[in-house]
Amino acid sequence: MRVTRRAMLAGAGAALAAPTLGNAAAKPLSKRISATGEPVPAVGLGSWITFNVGNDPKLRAECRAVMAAFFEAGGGMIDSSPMYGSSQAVIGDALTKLGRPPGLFSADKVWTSAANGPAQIAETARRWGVGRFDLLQVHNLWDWERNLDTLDAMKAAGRLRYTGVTTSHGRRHGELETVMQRRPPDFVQLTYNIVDREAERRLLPLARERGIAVIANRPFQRGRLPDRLAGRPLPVWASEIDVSTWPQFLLKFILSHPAVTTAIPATSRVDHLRENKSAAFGPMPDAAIRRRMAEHVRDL
Amino acid sequence: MAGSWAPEDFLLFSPRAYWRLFALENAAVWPAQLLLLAAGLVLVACLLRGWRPSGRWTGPALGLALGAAWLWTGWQFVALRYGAINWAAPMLAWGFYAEGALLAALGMSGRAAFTGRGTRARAGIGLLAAALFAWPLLAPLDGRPWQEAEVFAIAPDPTAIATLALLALAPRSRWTVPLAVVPVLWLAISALTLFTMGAWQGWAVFAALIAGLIACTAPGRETASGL
Repeated sequence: MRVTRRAMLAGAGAALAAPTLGNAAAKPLSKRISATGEPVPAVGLGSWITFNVGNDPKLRAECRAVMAAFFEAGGGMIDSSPMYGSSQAVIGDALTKLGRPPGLFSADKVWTSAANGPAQIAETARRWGVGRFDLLQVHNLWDWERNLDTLDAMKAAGRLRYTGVTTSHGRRHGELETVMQRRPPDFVQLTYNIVDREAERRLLPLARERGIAVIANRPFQRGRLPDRLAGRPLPVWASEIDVSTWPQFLLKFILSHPAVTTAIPATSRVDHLRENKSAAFGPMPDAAIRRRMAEHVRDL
Repeated sequence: MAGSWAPEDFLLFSPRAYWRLFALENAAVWPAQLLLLAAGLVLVACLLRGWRPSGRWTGPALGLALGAAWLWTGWQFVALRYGAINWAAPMLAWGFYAEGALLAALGMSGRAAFTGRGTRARAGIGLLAAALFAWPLLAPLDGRPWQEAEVFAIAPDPTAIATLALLALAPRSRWTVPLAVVPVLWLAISALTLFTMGAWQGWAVFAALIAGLIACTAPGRETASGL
């Protein structure tokens, strides 16, 4: 099937009908958080592995450069966790040295029992140097009911803007579905990429139905997907959705799903950050093109 | 693939962040590396010439020095440096403290003697030479800078290998196995970590672990009781 400009425009139209904003060529894609309608840039920044550099001043400077480029490109969600070693402190240090630039959507997690949750959240806030997080999530569903009690109470008191629950690697989807049914948070975070598509069956439709924003983690399978595809030519029709690199191809597939709010690729390189951010520009693939993209990668 | 874990999914840090730990620690203690290498050179040369430290001061001094190396490496490198990128590392450091305390206590008690001879002892000297002089070469062999060299008593792997080597030089005693437990466990963890990082150095650590185990447990000619 040939991808036509009409199909792409129809896709863009469908995306606009979904909780999606702005698809103009000169403006990066943002999407609306279902709970409030607040727009958030579609390409965020993860910190798993890449920002865990300890106290190394050289590597911290590299992380800071990545964050500076992120804010220059419009900013968005930066996501971390107490589980990610020194990542929180590295982010906080960079934010301070960058002068706390505008455009940050701060997202972190609680990764302990509910009894220890408030102390861990306070320590996380200290490391980031923020008074109030935009989003706090229950990491990997740990003690999720009681931890959500804590987050809901913080939100009610105005000390938190959004609540969330996370999973990764396609694990515990049944339990996450239960959370989304019984006690929908503002956000869920799950693994979704061009080859890990189990979430399409139940969780992503449910997120749209229940008005839950979705954060897609592991968009590149921790670098494995671009590595696997490197050296292979892009399909000729990729240029019709303004894709010139495999990472753009992979990210556009994720971002164009109407239920996905933001993807959080992690990187320690400024050129990769810019390449990731560029995926939010230009036309987004419609359902037919998305199918073709997935089939193409599957058949390689 | 979703729903499945790969070993690297349990790795909290990048290889680059890991290797840089050695550069930071080396910079912090420079030029102690030169003194350690010089002392190691003298020790190996003496052992090759047949010297076996078992005197009133030399054996215990070696035991105390080895204990101090474990305490220092556990605290400075494992707990502080490695702990900054791996939240499990400070727990692992307790093993280093236990090993260091045990070695120091045995040294203080005057039981430390490195009098083994024969094949087992020669294997120990070879392993000691590898820990002291080959391990610092792994970084440049890997295309990384000398600043990331792993040096005995500063980096944990050569410290653990050297300990197994000295145990092979010590007469077998009831302390041999307890003293080998922490070095063996550390080397196993280190090899696994390096394999998960995709680093070929994992094979070097694994080979040293096997060689150390064989050297420690093999029968040998002994001239005195010791560690």
